[in-house]
Amino acid sequence: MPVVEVLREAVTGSLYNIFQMACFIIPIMFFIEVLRDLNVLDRLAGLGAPLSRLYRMPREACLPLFAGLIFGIAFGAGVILNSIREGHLSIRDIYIINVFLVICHGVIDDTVLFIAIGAEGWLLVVPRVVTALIVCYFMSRVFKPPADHLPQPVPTAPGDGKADSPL
Amino acid sequence: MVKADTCRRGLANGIWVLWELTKVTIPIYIFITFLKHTPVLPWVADQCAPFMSLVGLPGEASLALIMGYCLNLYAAIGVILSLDLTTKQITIIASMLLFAHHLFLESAIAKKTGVKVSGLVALRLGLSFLSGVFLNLVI
Repeated sequence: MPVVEVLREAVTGSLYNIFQMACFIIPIMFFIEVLRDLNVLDRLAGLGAPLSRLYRMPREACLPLFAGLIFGIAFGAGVILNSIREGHLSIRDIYIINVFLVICHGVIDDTVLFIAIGAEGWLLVVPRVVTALIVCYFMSRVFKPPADHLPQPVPTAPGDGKADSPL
Repeated sequence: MVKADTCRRGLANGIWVLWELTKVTIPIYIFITFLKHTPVLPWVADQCAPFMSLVGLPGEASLALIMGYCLNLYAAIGVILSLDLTTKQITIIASMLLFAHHLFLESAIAKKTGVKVSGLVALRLGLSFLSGVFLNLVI
């Protein structure tokens, strides 16, 4: 095996991969901060309120969930990392979001890939979303939320908790 | 209010997140590129071929699954296109691949958020197989 060739492929491929992530992550992180300062973020998180109530998670948990669901797991994880740093999520919430996202993420672009080669689109999306909803429901009942997140989470002011980052 | 500080924070967050992901992406990407050039994946696919009838797929389709699980969806689609599958079979293999794919890289990224990933991988592979069996029965 020509090691130099393979190494070159690995390096250029990974750099290209990082570049692709950068094209997504930096503009959207930017966008999230703008939404936050325009106070749109709270209303947007409100759309996810039924889901966060169902899973007994703070409202902030919906942001990484929706981000990953639409844009893919790397982006979802990016938003989770940011939310952890801001101190919004407990380890239980992080597990539920991760389980949801590994089952079901990037629902638009990944599905389109397979529709393009002849698969039935709705059979790819609906069972996956339903499975993720059910598995996470069971998880949310097996693992009890930390006491301070019940019954309704107290919204944390943006920027709080940055100092005591767990990372 | 949107101020210069908003932009500064957005850029800083974006670069920080990107850097965190870069640290896990590069080593895994190098690993899977090497893996792609070894005969390991075709060998594993051969071992799995007899089980493919359970999900209604021909034995050769196991290579597409293994490529998708270890490398990425594009590698798997490359193999699928080289096979002659029916719409039902393509839907089955697509569903199995969507439940579980790119496992090394995506698990490394999930691990970055502080969770143990072995359970997540088992869950994905289990659901992948079950979805194949289920779709094979209902379509």
